Amino acid sequence: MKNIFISLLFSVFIFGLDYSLEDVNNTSPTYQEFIGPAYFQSDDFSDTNKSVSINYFGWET
Amino acid sequence: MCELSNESSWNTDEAVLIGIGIGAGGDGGLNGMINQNGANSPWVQDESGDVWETFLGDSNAPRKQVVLLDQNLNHRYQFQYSGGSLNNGEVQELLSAIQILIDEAATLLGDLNGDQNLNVLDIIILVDMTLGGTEADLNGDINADGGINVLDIVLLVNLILEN
Repeated sequence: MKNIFISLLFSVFIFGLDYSLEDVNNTSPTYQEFIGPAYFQSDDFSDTNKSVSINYFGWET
Repeated sequence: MCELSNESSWNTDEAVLIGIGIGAGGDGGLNGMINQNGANSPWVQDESGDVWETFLGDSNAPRKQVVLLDQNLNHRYQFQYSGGSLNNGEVQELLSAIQILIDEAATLLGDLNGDQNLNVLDIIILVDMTLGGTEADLNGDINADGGINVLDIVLLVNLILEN
């Protein structure tokens, strides 16, 4: 039980909110890549880590 | 014209704007503040509604909401808007919140391994500093008493738990 609690505690530390979905904006530098907040904190994106993400829930069909 | 669509409005080296749609709509369905000529922010489609559910608590939550995540991917601010664009007060409120998170990331107290996150790895380093195994770093002096000791470890644990 104690081990489960510790595992859950550490998972909260390490994993935050994130997603990985395809960028469909053909004028975006990451067009057709699967991106999310964590993606932009990665060294794989340009030379810059973007520490803050502004997630805009904006359209519907 | 909403200033949020203008990437000069905030430090884009530190913050990224991601547009998230729901349903099967494509570019033609985009509207609101990121749908401006020349906008080059990424847009994604959340066809399953899972992201809306996770971030907003309901896959049917109203659109025109903004969720700001900090450097630890923690949900820090959420704003609900109406209308076709933001008014000046809403723009300023949003930009202020973005700047607060950027400033926090730039001076993240206790981030001893420099990964812009506070987590158990920093605790391990701080414990090692306390034991003398690692050279003391003043960024680990959480209580600003001029030294690295067990009090700083306790405070760092609390900081992580609060995030």
